[in-house]
Amino acid sequence: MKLRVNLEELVDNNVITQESSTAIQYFYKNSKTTNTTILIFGVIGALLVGLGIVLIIAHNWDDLSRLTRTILAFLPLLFSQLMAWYVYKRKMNSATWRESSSILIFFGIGACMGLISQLYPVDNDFGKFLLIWTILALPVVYLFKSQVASMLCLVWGSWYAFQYDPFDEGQRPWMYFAVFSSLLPFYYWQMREKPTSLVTRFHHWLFPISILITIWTFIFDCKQTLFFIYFLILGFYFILVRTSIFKNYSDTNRSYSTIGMIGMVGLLFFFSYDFSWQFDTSKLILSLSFWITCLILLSGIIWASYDSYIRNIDLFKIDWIVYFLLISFTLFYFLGFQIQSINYIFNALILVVLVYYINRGAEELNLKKLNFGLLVFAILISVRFIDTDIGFLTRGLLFMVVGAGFFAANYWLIKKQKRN
Amino acid sequence: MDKYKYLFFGIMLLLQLAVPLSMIYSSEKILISGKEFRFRCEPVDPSDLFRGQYLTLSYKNNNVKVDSPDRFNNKDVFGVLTTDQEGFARFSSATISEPISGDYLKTNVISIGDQEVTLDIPFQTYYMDENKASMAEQIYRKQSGDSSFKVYSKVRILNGKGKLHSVFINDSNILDILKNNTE
Repeated sequence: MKLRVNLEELVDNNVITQESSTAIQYFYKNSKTTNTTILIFGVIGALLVGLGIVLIIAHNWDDLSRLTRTILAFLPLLFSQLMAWYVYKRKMNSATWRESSSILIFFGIGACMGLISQLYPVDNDFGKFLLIWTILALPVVYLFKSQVASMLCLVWGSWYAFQYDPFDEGQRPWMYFAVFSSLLPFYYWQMREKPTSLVTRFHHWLFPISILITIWTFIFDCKQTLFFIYFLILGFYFILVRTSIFKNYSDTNRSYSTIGMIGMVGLLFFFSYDFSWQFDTSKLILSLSFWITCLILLSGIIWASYDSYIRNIDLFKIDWIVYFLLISFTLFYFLGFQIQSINYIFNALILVVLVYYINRGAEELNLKKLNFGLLVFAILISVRFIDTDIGFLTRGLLFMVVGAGFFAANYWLIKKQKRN
Repeated sequence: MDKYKYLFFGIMLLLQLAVPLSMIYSSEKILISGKEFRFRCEPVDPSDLFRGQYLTLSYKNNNVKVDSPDRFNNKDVFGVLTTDQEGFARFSSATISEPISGDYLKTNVISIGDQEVTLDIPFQTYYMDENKASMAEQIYRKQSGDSSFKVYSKVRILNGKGKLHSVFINDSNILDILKNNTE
């Protein structure tokens, strides 16, 4: 409820004193809302200016001499460094100043390096370019306690790893792990100090996604292991968020377990196709990267058990569907190569997931779970109808039935929620 | 404590400046004291988000005959440079250990064939004004049927490292051709 009052009227009628009125005015003038608005605009402004500088440099100013261009390359960086110095000395209390100057310095580095590598092109190693940029910007995260810079470094670090071709047997982007782990303490700090901040919530999405999009470049010896490793990591996310690092933050639970479930269902869909079964999964046992991942996950599980024991909470008490999927996926993944029409089994697993979520949604009166179940149902029907020979009329009718089902289920649940 | 904080801050700022400066220094050193070579190539025009439009140069004459080519797999390779009758650079041999004298380029192997390897010539990116890069490619496309038509890059090489200096079409600098074309 928002209370709109005329302070002068309250003072006149002796409801509050003049001092209280001044205090109230001061409070609202410096209230969090105003600060947050300025912060958001400061950050967006700095991002736009930073990107603008980078794009202007990307124009390639051929007509200017090499010396002029070299000097120009350093201008944005020097300017942002001067600003950073000023902020570091005077304005460290203001989040807006800290965040904006860190963003400017971040793009200042990129602009400078971009122009220098235009002037002296070596090879077109974009990954290396992104890596040096990220490493030079990393200290900014800690010195300025800048959440946006931390996000940018993580995205840039992942982008660097993503540049490497996983099917090429050459180099691997190992430095990704250095960037990733150097950002972890800051992530932990954010969870402790700024658990409700919007940018902290972004981090809860970015960290698990970053692992997922980069890990495939490191599976160097046996591509067959890839899907199984993914499934294990996705399953581990459910337990990871319940450990003491994440305790009490429901937002983390949502992002990690959402990513975990969407990823698992995605993989089930992938294996529900015939073409996904062209490789011999039994070769997995010979793969070193598979055993390394298992070792890392196993140590994670041992640590979680210890954490469980210390805090006297059962961390492993998660939805049974996760265990069910992990066990059945493992079983069928290894046996699948020998079973005829294994894809039918994976379709059945998807059915189990959707029935589980529709049921849970209805029981808990939870619209998100209900709709997730229904969505999986709709996708299952869509993909199966694309690869089968069923007439358009039947397809059309079935889609209408599913659509009507969506409306009916949601309507029923909302009504039930209101009644309760 | 505050002293250390400022020290770290200062080091960070200096590093941010030092890295691009060292990029300039090492490049300038090669451009000034390196030996010049001309490599035959073909240009195409892609773009890069942060560094803008550029010409990608794909090279010819990058095969070299070797014994047991498999030993070059996934290793740094040194291509020993020589020039042909027309004055264009080509590799005379390839080794895994760095040559003590002569001109050579540190690179890696793109593909391994029967008794020969194809070496990577790493001067593939030539950044240009965003309006000019596609024009340069068009000029090349128009004339590439002509057998006397030659495109090459001038590269300076010092101690195994090289820097792309400029790109030439039929002995005229590509930037001059584009300048005349726009005028």
